[in-house]
Amino acid sequence: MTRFAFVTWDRGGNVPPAVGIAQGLIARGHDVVFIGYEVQRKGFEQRRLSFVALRRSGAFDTFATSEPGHRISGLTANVWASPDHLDDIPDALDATSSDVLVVDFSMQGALASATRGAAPMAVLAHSAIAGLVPPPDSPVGAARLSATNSLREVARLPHLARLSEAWTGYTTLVTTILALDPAAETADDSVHYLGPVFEALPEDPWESPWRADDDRPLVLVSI
Amino acid sequence: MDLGTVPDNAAVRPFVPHQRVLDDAALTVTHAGHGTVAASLAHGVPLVALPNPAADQPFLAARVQRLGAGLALDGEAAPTLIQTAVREVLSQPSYAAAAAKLAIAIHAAPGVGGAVLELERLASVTSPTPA
Repeated sequence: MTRFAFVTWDRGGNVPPAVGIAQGLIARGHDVVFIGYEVQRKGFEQRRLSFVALRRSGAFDTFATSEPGHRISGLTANVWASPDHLDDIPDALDATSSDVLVVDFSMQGALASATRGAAPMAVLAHSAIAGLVPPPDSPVGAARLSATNSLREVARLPHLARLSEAWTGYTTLVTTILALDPAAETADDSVHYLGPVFEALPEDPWESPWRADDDRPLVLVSI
Repeated sequence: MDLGTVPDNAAVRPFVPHQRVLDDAALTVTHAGHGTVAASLAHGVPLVALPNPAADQPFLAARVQRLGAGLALDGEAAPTLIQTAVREVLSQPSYAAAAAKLAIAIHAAPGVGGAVLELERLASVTSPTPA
């Protein structure tokens, strides 16, 4: 039995695949704990999954709405390239006695912490890498890369030319199919395209209001 | 959220598991988050995508269109444009055929079992750094 620690934040679509994999691990007899932000606690507790908040950075409200520029800078400092994660991750590993980290691809501070040897690490990307990772010549990509390299200096790790270099050589789980991700064409053997992973949900009482023999096409509008 | 008067041929719910609807769906209209895109394609359901200008949504919307499994519009597209796109995707079998082809790829993928195997393999390695 192994105790896996998923380091995550809630950007919407990234959590259900992590939960789906966690459910698979639990079904195999492993332990799982999620490490993240206080705003996530209720969601994990409702799923009956263990949760520990990041000690220094965990109070940041990832759902706070503000002017877009401020939101991006807040996420960069507290989620995507947080120097606090360099200490938060080892602390959380000690507190949870975890053996293996599974880190959201976007959390460069946590990735750097694992690179420094905090624990064996896998990286989780929930969608097409070509769509998830901003290129270094885009405004958001340049800002995230600059902040990432600043924290890597603190961690005494070499600079990155691209954000995706942070997980080169590490087991990387991508929960989409090859066809949806052109980045798969240049991925190395450590990157595994698993296909979509869906969270197992409790039974829902919803019933369609329309008769089974209704011949009109059914359109799902999911926003 | 108050959506005003809802027509008789629509039902609005804050949450319904995709699985409960997609078995019978002919089309999904979505913001193009990966979860909804993947769930729809796994059921062979084509899409009309209205992505927000954020994260992976514009990319996924464009990719779905490129693969022939749907159409990508601007996230702020006017209702008449959405209506035209819906009618196009529903009336042309090629979209559903492309979605069905992607469904085969999704069901052939390793899925959660593959993830568990890779993580168990990692846990069996003692070194915290890659080879």
